[in-house]
Amino acid sequence: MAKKQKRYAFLINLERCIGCNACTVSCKSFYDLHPSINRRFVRETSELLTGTPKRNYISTSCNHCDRPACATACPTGAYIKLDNGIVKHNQDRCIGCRMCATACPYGVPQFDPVKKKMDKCDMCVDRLEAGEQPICVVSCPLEAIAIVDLNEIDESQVVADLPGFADSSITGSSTRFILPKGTTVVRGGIKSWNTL
Amino acid sequence: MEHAMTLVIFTFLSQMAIGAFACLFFIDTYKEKISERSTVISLITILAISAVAVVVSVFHLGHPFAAYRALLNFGASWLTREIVFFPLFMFFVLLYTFFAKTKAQKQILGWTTVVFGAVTIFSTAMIYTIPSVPAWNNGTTLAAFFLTALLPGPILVQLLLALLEKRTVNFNLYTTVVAFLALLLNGVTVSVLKSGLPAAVESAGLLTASPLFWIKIATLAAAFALAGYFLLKKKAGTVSTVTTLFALVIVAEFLGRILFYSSGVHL
Ligand code: SF4
Ligand code: SF4
Ligand code: SF4
Repeated sequence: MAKKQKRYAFLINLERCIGCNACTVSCKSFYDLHPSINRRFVRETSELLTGTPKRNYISTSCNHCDRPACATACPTGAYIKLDNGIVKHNQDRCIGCRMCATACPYGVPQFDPVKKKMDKCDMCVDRLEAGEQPICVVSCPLEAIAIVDLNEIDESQVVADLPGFADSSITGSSTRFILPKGTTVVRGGIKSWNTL
Repeated sequence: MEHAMTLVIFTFLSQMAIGAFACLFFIDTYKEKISERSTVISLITILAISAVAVVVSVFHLGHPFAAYRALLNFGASWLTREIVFFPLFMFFVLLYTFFAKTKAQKQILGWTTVVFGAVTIFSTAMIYTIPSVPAWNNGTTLAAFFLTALLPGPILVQLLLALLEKRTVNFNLYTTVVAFLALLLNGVTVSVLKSGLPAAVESAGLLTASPLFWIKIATLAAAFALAGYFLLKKKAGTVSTVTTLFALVIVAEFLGRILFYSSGVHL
């Protein structure tokens, strides 16, 4: 039987992420990105994802969508959805019209003010093809970022949507998240305020 | 959106030029005799406005000299489609200017030009009818873009004819109705945004908190009142009336377009 084509996607483990930004910085450094742009972002997200207050972080980059709005908007056809799921941007075609940044629900493509073209995560496709993991994956000290095959993943253990993250059904975002576990530890400050 | 001014100018001028051509074509072919000199000067003005729109739009690009590559994604991108159809509109305005002599020629070339113009406006509106900006992702975008063609466009023609032929073509009924529709659209837009996603509600807040929005409403209301007054008086109005009307709708529509871009909150 022919081997099924892989569909690569990011799996972000919120239980593990501590918001250290190692992924953002290592990617930026590896690709020598302009100071004003990043391919990966880490931000704080809702403290109530699990029902009890707990600080949570979310690391996101391009979501390598199934129906990429960037590709539909781009007048030069600079974006292609590869068979392996990766949405790749061809900078040689880009003319810097920024339409992709407007159309992407996640505002992912960033304008490089020196090259005057867009830049975005390509899931380190060259490294993946060489059998290596992406830079952000290997640099995360908590192993909170992984590359998974959407054909293999148990979807019941992950989610595609989070508060503050644009509805995944708009473009078919491929990123999956592992939600943080609930905690029984309630911060002293909050507890004492409540019991005052 | 600091780079949006080029888009404001392009969309505003291109839509006004399309509306102006449609109006001139209807008058020229179906309504009344306009001297050839006035027709040609008006058409060249429309072409000049269109050319300015194109030149300004190219400066929006990071690589203006690679603009030709924007033609490569006709199958998927509304931006490519706009970039194909607007020059086609301009080309047919040129053909109409120099080759439409008989009524049949005027009809064929005129209608073709109007269709390319309408498809351009439709394509421009579709570029912005996208889920990532909920305030734009509804029919008000298309309505607003067509109103920019339908309001300042014909008044530009009225002004040109008033200056060139020293007579005022009476558009008062038309202007009153379209200015009223433009006023109505503002109310509809705000209520659509207020009932939308949080980003659209934020856009509604930005819109109504902006003094530019209220200046736009005031200028549209003034245009409606002025055209309505002359309609009731059954007078065509003078050159200065038409100039005032043109100034009012230009300010209203231009401010409206600035607000469109500045209040479009991304998801
Ligand atoms: S996240 Fe944005 S840039 Fe990435 S594939 Fe989806 S639409 Fe395109
Ligand atoms: S900025 Fe480049 S990649 Fe983005 S839509 Fe324009 S041409 Fe395409
Ligand atoms: S996969 Fe590569 S390009 Fe994408 S965010 Fe990670 S390090 Fe950067």
